[in-house]
Amino acid sequence: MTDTASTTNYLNSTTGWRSWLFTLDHKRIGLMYLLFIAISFGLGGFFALALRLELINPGKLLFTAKQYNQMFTLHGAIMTFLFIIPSIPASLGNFILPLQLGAKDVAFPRLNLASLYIYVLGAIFCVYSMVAGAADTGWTFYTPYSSTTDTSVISMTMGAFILGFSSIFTGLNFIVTIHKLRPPGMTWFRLPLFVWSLYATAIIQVLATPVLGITIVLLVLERVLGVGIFDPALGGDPILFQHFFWFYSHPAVYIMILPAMGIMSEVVSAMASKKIFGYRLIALSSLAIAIISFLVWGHHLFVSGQSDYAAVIFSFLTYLVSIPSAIKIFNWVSTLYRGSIDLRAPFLYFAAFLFMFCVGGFTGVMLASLSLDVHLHDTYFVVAHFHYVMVGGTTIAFLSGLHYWWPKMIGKMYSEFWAFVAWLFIMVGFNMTFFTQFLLGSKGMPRRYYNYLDQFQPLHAFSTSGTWVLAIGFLIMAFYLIDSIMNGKPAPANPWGATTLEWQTDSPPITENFHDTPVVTTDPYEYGVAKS
Amino acid sequence: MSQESHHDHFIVPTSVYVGALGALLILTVITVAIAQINFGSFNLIVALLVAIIKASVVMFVFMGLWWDDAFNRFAFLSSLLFLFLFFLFTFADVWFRDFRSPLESEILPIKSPVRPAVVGEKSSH
Amino acid sequence: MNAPDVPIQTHQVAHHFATAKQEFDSAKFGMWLFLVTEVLFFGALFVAYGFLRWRYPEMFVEAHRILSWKMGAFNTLVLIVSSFTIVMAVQSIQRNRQRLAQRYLGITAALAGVFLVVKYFEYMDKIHHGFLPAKFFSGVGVSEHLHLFFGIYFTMTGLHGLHVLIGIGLIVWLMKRNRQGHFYSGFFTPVEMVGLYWHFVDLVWIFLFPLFYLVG
Repeated sequence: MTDTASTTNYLNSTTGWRSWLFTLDHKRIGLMYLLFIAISFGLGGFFALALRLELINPGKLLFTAKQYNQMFTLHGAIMTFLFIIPSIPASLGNFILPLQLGAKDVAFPRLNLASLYIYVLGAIFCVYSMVAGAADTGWTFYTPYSSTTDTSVISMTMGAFILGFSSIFTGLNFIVTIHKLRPPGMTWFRLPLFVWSLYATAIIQVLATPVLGITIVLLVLERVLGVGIFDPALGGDPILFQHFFWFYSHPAVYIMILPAMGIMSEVVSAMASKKIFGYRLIALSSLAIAIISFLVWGHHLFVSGQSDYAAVIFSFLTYLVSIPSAIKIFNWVSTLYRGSIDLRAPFLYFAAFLFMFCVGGFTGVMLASLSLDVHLHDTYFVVAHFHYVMVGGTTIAFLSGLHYWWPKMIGKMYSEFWAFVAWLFIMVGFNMTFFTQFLLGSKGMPRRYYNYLDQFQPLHAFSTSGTWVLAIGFLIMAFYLIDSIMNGKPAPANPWGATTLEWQTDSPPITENFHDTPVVTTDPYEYGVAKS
Repeated sequence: MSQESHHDHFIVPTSVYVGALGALLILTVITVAIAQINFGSFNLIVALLVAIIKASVVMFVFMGLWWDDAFNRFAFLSSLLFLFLFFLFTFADVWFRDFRSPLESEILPIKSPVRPAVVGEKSSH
Repeated sequence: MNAPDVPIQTHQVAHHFATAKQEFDSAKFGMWLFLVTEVLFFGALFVAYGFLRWRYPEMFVEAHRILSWKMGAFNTLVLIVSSFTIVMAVQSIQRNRQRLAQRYLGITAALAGVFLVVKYFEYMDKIHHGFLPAKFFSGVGVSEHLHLFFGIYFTMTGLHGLHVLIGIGLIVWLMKRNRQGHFYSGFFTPVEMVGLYWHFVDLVWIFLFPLFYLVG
């Protein structure tokens, strides 16, 4: 049954704002998350445009130095805590995970709704902090500046604290769902790779986020009670704060990239109509990344004053964590070989991911080298590296998944032509903005600087103009996606000819997901012989 | 789906719980008594060992981990492992903070080309 | 198996679970995962404690004498007994002895209350003598960094005390539902879950007691 316009599905089965506000349906919750995440991206993006505009010339253009500091803090905090950490798990994950498991819902639907409410509450704290004297510490809140500055550090960090619980509960929910709600016949090695990636992500969410919570509590107590644990004047150690902060924040970047990699596995297999190469290695490499990610945080402290022995250990382990990621890259490329490739939007974003995640990954390995990091730490090189992995990696993969699952979620097809146009703008704009920053950083331009030497100005200006191209791309995307909701062609149940369970039900699905509980008898990517 | 009977819940006998309570009370007395003895630098380790034994009784008997799904045991014990790793690596820094590699103690006769810029001066990069 | 000694409301398994066992196992697993997060949450504070104690060993020896080990030991016994009473409450429900469970739950909540009262007296004494975190510290002592000890002491025992308070609320909620006949041999999941939480609170104190009150 693929006729969607007139049949009952999860979107129209009940009406009224109360049926959405108090829903327990993971699909509606995922959709609401998608909306909030898109808004957060817009807000964080606005600050990005503003701060890059300020940097088009040295010296003051529109903002004071303090306002500039506040803007990059807000850009970082909003993008990290409100956009990218929840992005894939809370929106696409919530929607697709039970479907891929042939389940009716996640294990704890009320906890899922609570996660959404908690997210909104955390967002309110962050927005409040913006107007109450926004923090100017950078999203990393290093002490002793963050424990002494007069800006509203407490409300911003309390926002992050609250958002942390949303993340923890989502992760907890997913782990239990994957363990307990699998259908008959779906053994662990028959799980779709997106599910594996969400599982590995959830492990990190559950283990790492509480440490961020405590770090924030300690920072707040430091400000309010003057505990002194991070203040050298009182006998404390500011590097201890960095250990605490990065124990979460490094695994956090794997919360960002692992689900993205999961999406890439799904998309490459479906769009090449070919069984994924090296399924077990990809699945196990997700777990390996999750575990090793906890052992590398000190690479953020190479020049902070930690001991040489610790630095060497962290450097070695950082090299190690790149290996499972590389395994995935090889497997995805191998999947393409002798596949029958469908060049529509999900694949375009996959191709973009392949290139840009590799750039980000290679430069990460460069930064893992102690000797190089001494020169590159706190320069634009680092900024470029993490934007390549977070935007060029996670965000691009998120867009791939968004387009891939859009027909399933909304029941409508978007315009491939405008999707291609937006993709072009985003690719060009992104690389204009951030490749330039590798050059800036290796020439010595420090990050978070409001002012700079004249010789950096051409590169800065070029980077800023790239942000405008990027912004146009995203605006085009917003237009054609919203347009498709109203005017898009009704989507078939399986527009990509994919094999995972979510495609074996209607687009959009009924509230209970499946008419009959699926029984699984095959591996998830049985595409048969690839066409040559 | 209606309710089913209590399936296969194993009910731990009261005597086991009472035994655990007794053990914990005795161990608490030991905790205080052993703190009076000076083991020098091992004081902390001894105190932690007694605490770990008490914690194990609470975990395995009162919390039922002994009779529970193996994965619940694995999950909880893994969290302790990760906590231990947090300790380990943080102390790898803190403990060795003051050790200097011999290379760093040498003063090498290298003249750095870097010097503070003069206002209006352009760098040669 | 006894018949329940209060009128029972039978529990309906949620629609997305196939069996009651699947629902119970999921809830239990979920609770253990929550306790995993609590391990990392409190555990990080233990790392902070470890750092401070390693840095200032003599200061810790001096500072701990300001605390009353007798009150600490008494509180330890209180929590251990309360762990026993709550697990007996769970077992009573499993045996359909709802009235007995109610009494065990009540004793648990009362013991928790006693714990908090003792803590109140301890805190008042410290505040009275000025043994507080740095901003408010005015205590008399030899070591230069006594405020650090009290900073971490109040943080850790305060957070723990907050968890005790929340636990009391949860136990009172259980008692209300028990009186309404929600729990019986076929369904006692919330009682078991609160029990696990309560044991965890006890676990944290088992480590806090020697580390703060019995240093050196």
